[in-house]
Amino acid sequence: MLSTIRDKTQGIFATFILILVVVPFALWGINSYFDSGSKINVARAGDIDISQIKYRREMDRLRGRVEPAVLDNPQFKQRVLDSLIDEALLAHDAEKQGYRISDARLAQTIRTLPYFQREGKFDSTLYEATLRREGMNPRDFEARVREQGLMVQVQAGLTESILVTSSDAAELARLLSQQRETAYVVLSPETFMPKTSVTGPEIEQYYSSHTELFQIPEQVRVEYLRFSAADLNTGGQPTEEELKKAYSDEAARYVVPEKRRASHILIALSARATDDQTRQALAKIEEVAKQARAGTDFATLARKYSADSATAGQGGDLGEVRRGGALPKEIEAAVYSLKSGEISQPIRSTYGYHLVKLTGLVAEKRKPFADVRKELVELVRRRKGEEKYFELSEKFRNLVYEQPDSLAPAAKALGLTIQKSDWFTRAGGSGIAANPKVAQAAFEPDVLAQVRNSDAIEISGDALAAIRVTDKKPAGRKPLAEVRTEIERVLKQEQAKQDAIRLAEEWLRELRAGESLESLARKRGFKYQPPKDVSRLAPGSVDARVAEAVFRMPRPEGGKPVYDMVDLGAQGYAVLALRQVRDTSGKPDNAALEKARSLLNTRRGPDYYANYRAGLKQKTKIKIFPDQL
Amino acid sequence: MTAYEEQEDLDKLKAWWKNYGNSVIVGVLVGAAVLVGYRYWTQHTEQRAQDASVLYDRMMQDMRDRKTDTARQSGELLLKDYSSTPYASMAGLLLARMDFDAGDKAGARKNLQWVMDHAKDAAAAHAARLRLARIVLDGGDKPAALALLDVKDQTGFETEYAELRGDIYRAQGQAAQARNAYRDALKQLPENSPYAPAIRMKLDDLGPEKSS
Repeated sequence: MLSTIRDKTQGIFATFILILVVVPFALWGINSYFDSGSKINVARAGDIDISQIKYRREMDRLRGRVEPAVLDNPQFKQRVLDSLIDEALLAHDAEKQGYRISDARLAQTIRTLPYFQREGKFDSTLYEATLRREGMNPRDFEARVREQGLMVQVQAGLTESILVTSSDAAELARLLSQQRETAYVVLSPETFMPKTSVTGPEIEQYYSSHTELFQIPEQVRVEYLRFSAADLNTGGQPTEEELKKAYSDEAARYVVPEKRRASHILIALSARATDDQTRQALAKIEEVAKQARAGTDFATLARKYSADSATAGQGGDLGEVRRGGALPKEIEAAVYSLKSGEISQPIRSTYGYHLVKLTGLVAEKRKPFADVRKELVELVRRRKGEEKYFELSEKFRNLVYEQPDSLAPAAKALGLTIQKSDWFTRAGGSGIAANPKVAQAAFEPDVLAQVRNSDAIEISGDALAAIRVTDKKPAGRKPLAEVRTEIERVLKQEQAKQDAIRLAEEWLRELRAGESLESLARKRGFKYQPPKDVSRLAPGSVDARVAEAVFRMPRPEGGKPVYDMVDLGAQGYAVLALRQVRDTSGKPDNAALEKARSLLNTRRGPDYYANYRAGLKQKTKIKIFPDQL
Repeated sequence: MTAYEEQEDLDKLKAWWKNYGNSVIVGVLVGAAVLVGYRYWTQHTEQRAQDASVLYDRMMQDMRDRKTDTARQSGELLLKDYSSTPYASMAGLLLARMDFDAGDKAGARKNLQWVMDHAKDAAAAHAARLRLARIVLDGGDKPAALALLDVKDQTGFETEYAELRGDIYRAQGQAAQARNAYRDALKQLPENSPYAPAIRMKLDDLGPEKSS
């Protein structure tokens, strides 16, 4: 049978068909070899994929700019992802509609970006280097710039074509500058407190019906070992030898080296100077030296004779001369052998003949060994303590782990004492429990339920602790006796507020029947706030909640004030009388018009782009794969 | 396989070619022509889009530089020669603004109407419609303004439509309808929008319903 197949596949016809079949198969899928990177996506919006690589790159970019804790926040991650989706959607949509950025335009945009410019010009090596540092290749970057360009075109079109009609602005300005003449009285609960009374059964009723209140979380008490480097450094006295060594090791701390400042005069000689020229130069420098020793100012001489153009102008000043600096060795040696103010003999260097003067000398400052001895003892001890700490901390870790039923072996082996903590909750407590790691460890199942030693806990860079739960108090509720006064206060406040609202309602009835707010207030001993003009732009001293309520009230008709009340929370209730509404006749004032225009300048322009964005998102099916974030 | 069999195959192939050869050649040629034509066409539209993009950028820059005349020229060219690109609608919106700023309301209306009629992009069409309706309302023709707002798909621009409906009803003295429209707008506005207080203000100014 196989041979039949072979026979049939050898005809020309068959070969032809075979080739037709083989070619596509051979090339099929070849593009996947050229696609770099994996195909993991973090989100899919419509038919656009947001790759994990893109997301990670964006997070990397933000890494340096945002606090690390924020970076791990899921909400922040979501925001980053949202903005990536937005961008991808907008750019994709713009492209689909036929918006385009040409290659020439793209190149021009990139060339004008300041971070790729050196001395005001685009620099292609800088461009590539910058991209590499950001972990991007030029193709991706250019695609991104292009996307941004597309978005800007749409945004600018919708934003900059803004129109605000005058009736639109005038209406808003009218509302902003409208004045409402208002009087009010605040009925505060404090006034009613003395008259309130709460009975025992009411308190018990409240306690039993509000089971969610007065809860105490689970608490524990632990015994613990604290092992720190600081406790170890009380060891023996360091030897004299150790102290001396520490003194020399820490020279930088105790010795301020001497500082020397010098000036020089150079009579230049080229490297191929003849003997004659050399003699002449020597004669000249000796002449200058003579003048200097005779008392002529060195700086003046330097200005006159020195061939060193860099220093001649400054009177030959070389500045501070350090050992191993850039000066020729001969000069450095001379500077370090001169006394203050002394002038050297002529010195030959590769540049020619020099005359050097030591112009400044600050002697070395050294704290003598005896003075710093105490400090050194402290230092050596601390270091030894640290060394010992690192050596013993391993032992500590092992002991508390290997003998989980008691802290005593570790305490005994390391000479520590077992201490006891106060009660604390999962949220922590005082003393050792103030450390969140300790509080957390105490409530781990192994430690809490199985009563085992915790692992060694690093409570700071050089201290370890291990804990063991000794007592437990289950979660519960504070007993009634403990919270009785608290409940009484709450109930009284509630009553007082009820009384306030009752009175306010009563007043409203009376007011609507024709009573005046002022006389009511006087009769009942409340403070009357006389009529004041309130506008939305300038609520003045009036409580914001009062102002808000005032502007929600209907307009008074026929000269009769309109009354209402407003809840002020803990401050009780306010009873309001709106006496008059005044719209500015004719032109509204400038402040209001300006405010109205600025509100509308966003609303009628840029917000259209935001709406466009929102609409796009609304129409697209977006799927997020949170596992890949 | 024998030589004879091979000869037979060859003969079959020749006969087949004689029958269908011409059709195959014509088919291949037509296919190639379509392919070339398609490529030419896409390249052509691509080029036009890029030209329009450059022109649009120039118009925008001129507008920012207050070179109104040159900006207007670019805009009109976009409307005339590049109406198949989305840049034409954007140019229409920008032209309307320039007209409006110059006090030419009729010109602005004409340009906005053009965008409404030609825009493929829903956002540009909505912007044109809403702005036109505002200008019409400003001119005092409330029913016409209201009629302009009667569109089904308002995706993304719901609050704008609702607010404007509210403004028109208010101007017509229909407080109940205006109240509903403003409430609708507030409901659709994204949370903590800085514009919410403005709509709230318009709503509050109508006072509470008469029944309460």
